[in-house]
Amino acid sequence: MRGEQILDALEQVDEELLYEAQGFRGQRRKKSRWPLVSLAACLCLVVAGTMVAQLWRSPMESNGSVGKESHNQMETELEHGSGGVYVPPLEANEGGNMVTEADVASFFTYQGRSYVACSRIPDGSHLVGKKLGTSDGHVDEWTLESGYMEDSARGDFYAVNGYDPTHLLCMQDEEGSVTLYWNNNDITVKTGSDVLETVFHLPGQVVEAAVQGQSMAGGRDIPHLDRLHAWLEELCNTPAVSAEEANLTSKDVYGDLILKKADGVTVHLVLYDGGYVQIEGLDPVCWQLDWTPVVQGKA
Amino acid sequence: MEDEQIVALFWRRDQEAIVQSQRKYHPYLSKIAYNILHDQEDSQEVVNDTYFKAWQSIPPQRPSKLSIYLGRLTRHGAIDRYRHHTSQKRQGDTYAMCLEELEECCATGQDPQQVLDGKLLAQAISRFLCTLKPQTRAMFLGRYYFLDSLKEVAQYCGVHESKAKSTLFRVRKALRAYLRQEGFDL
Repeated sequence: MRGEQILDALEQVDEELLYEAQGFRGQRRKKSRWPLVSLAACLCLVVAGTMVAQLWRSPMESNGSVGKESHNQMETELEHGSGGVYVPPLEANEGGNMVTEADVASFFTYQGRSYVACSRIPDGSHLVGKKLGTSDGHVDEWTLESGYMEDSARGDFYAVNGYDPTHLLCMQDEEGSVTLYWNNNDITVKTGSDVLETVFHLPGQVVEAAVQGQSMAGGRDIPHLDRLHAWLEELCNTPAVSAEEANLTSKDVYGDLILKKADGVTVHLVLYDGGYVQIEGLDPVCWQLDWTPVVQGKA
Repeated sequence: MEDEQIVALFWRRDQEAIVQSQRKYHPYLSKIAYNILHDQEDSQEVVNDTYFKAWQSIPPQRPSKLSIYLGRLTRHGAIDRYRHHTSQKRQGDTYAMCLEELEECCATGQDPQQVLDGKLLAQAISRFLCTLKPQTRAMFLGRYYFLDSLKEVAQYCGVHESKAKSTLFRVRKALRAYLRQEGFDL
C-alpha cells in the first residue's frame, strides 16, 4: 500500500529530527505554542458580542475592525516604516505558502477586533475574569474540498484577569484549561515592549524559561533568569522590523525560547540564526537582538 | 547511564548493555511497540527482540543516539509483526488510521514502490520536514513515526486535538505537493 511506503520511509528519516520530536513527546508539555494565522479565502468571521468598534489606542495601535478595513488595506500584506510594522487583519491566503498553511488558528471577533488562539493553560481558571460575551459561530478554519475542519472558537469568552481585554481574552473548556485569544492582527508594532510588556506584562515576571530545538531533546532550562530579564528589557526597547525584509525562513530557526510567568501564561519566542527573534503568532514582525548570551549562557 | 557508556558495553560484548538499555528505554520502546500493536504481550516480545537485534548489530554499528536507534528497531519490528498478524484486516487501530491518512500524500496512480527508491523518499521527506517549524514537525513525526494518538500529540504539543488534526491534514497536503515538486510520481 502506498501509505505503507511513507510509513516505511519515515523509518529512515534524519535522526536529528526524530530526536527533536522525541523531546516534545518526552516533555508532555501542556502549554501551547502560538499558531500562525493563515486563513483560507472567503472565511466568515465569527461575530461575537456586540460589534461596537472601540477607539482604544495604546502603544500597540488597533487599527480598526477587519470588516471596516479598506480594500487596499486588506490587500496589503505588510506595511512598515518608521512607525513600526503593521500586522494586517486576518485575510484570505489561498494559494499561499503550503507550509505556512499548515499552521492555522481558531479565532473570533469582539468589538471589532479579531482574537486568535495563542496559548492554552491547564488549570488556568484563576485567569478567567468577567464574562464578556458568547461566540456563536464556528467557521474559523479553512474551507476544504471535503468541507470544514472542526476547530471551533465558539462558547463563552471572558476577560483575562490582570490583562487588558483589548489585547487578550480567554475561553475555558470542559477540562478546566483556558485558551488565551490574542488580538494580534490589524495592529502596528513598534518595539518589543508593545507586545511583551503591553500585552503579556512579561518583563521581570518570567519564573521559568527553557530553550527547545533540534538536537535538544526535552529542551534545556535556562538557569540565569536575571540575565534573561535584562535581555528581555533590551528586547522591549528594540525596534520591530519586518520579517519579510529580514528574510526569515524556517530553515534558519535555531529553536524556541519558552517563557513562563507565575500565572501560567506562556510566551514563545522563536530564535533565528543571525540574531533575530520573533514572537510566535506574530509572523510579520521580528526583532534583531543577539540571543546567544541568554541561550548559550555566555557572559 | 549515558548512551555512550551503554554503547561501549555493547562493543565490549558485556551483557550489562542489555540490562542498562532496558532500564533506560524499556518504557519508551514499549510505548512505540504498543502504539502499533495494541497488544501488551506482542509489544513485549517485539521489545525483547529489539535488545537482541541491538546485541547483534552493535558492533559494527555505533549509534550516537541510542534511543533513536533502539526506537527504530522496535518500530520496524512492531510493523513487521503487525503486517504479519493483520495483513488482511486493518481497521479501527492507530496503525490503520495513520496509514489511511498518509494515503493522501500519494493520491492515486502507481504504487510508489514501483517508482521510488525508499531512501530517496526518506531523504525527500527529511528535507520537507526541515521546512516545518519544530512543533509542526513534532506533530507529524509524533503521529506518523511514533504513531501516537491524536490526543497524545495534541497534549504534548500543547494544542487542542482539533488543531492537531487540522495541522496534520495540512502537512500531509503540503508533503504531497512537496514530493510532487521533487519529482516523485505520486
